[in-house]
Amino acid sequence: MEEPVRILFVDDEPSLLNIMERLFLFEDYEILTATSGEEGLRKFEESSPIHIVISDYRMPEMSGVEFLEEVYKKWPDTVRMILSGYADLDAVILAINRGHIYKFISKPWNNDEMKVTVATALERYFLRKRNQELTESLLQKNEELRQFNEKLEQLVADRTAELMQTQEQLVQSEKLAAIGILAAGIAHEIKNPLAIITMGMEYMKSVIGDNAMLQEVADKLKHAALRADTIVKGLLSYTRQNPLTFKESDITTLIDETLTFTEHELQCKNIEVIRKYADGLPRVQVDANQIKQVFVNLLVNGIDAMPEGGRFTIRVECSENDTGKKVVQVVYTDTGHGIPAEKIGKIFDPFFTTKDIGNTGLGLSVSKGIIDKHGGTIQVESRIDVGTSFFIRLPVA
Amino acid sequence: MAEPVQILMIDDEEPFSFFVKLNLETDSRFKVTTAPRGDEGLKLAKSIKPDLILLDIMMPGMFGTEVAGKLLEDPRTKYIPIIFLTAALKKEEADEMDGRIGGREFIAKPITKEELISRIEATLELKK
Ligand SMILES: Nc1ncnc2c1ncn2[C@@H]1O[C@H](COP(=O)(O)OP(=O)(O)O)[C@@H](O)[C@H]1O
Repeated sequence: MEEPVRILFVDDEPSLLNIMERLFLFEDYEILTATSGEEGLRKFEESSPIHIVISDYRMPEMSGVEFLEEVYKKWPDTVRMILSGYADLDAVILAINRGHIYKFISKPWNNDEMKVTVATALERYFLRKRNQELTESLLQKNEELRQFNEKLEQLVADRTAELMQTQEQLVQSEKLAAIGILAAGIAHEIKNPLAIITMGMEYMKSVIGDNAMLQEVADKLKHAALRADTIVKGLLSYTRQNPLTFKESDITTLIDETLTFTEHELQCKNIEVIRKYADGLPRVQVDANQIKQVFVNLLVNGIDAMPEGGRFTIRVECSENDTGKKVVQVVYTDTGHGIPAEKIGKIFDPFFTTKDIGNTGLGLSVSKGIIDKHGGTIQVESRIDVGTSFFIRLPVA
Repeated sequence: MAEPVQILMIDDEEPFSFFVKLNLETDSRFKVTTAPRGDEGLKLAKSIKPDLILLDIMMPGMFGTEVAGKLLEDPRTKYIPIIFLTAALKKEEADEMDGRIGGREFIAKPITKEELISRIEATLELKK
């Protein structure tokens, strides 16, 4: 329902009010009148909203400007106009300039002009109203946009962080791969000069004789060359192209050795280790260092899978492989979080990791490489929140 | 005093051969002849009939493994023990040697004088 358009006339002369009422008799306006500013304000209280107020300037108690000031304070939406003779023009213009009065109508007025003025003022009222509504809805939209934007920014930030992490992992992996390729490529080039330096130093040592100072210098130089060689060897291990040096070994001794140097960490992490070694195990032909690397990888993975502590069971027994050949089987069982079915097929892939940056995802792939080279097999079984078992089978010569 | 052990060293890294020779010859048990290339080494092997050959694998022209194959084919050099030297021990190299040569004694460069001598001693004792 449309609200009625209300116009309030304020004049201390009732005859003028009558003229006004008559003037707008056939218009669709609700005409209110008051003979003083005070009464005018009361009308405002009683019947808001009033769209237009037209007040005489000269009134006994409260002047028209004062009255309209009050109206402006309390009902700023109302279009305020003032009637005045030229004598009071200065005061009226001041008020208009202060922005509190929309229009000045000179006395005596022309009826037609008055109608047009009122119609224009009304238009202005509704335009402003509409404007306000638009502004408000704009502001609201703006706020919505701002919130959306904020969300978007968060989303973008999250995605960026994720991407950066993946990127960093990729860089890590690629770095390693690059190091491997580089190491393999330059090992030969570096080792030859190192060999020359070492041999040269050795000869110098043998002819320097008793000069302790020169002996020390030669020793230091020789050690430096050997240290460089150790570094190259370390890099080469990434390529897994180090040849194996097989030696007949007792597998449980190797297991025990790896446990000794992870003992401290196992204890700190509240992980109990149970060893179940069968009696009379045959010895196996292995590269002890590489096999130990496999065992260390399995220990580290198990430790990572049991952040709250748990139990490691290491079984070693004599068994047979699928083709009926005699093997030594080593089983590492942890009580960790397990591996989800969709991931278990990937864990032996190079660079597959579910861990933080710093983990290369090479552990198991390197381990598998080593076991393959021994003619053995490595297999996994896992149940979520129960634990994981790795089975290693090494052929018995 | 017994005759010194004749060692033929075939390696394209001449400074290395030179230092090995200097080092080994501080020990009067050893006499070292060097050759920088495979073909030259083969000729020397036939003429001086060394007690032991130190043979580098990665050489330009003829690979050490090829040299070894030729040594094995010739009845005059067939029984001379070989110790391979290599700066880059690679699986392929090891495999290749495995296939083509029976014994696969090899030394990774760099090596200390002490190690080198003990390897030579071990190999020669094996022969006895
Ligand atoms: N004992 C285990 N329990 C649960 N998950 C494991 C276990 N061992 C390996 N994994 C899973 O396999 C992935 C690959 O392991 P690995 O190749 O050793 O690399 P990395 O340890 O660097 O992640 C690990 O990130 C982990 O998700």
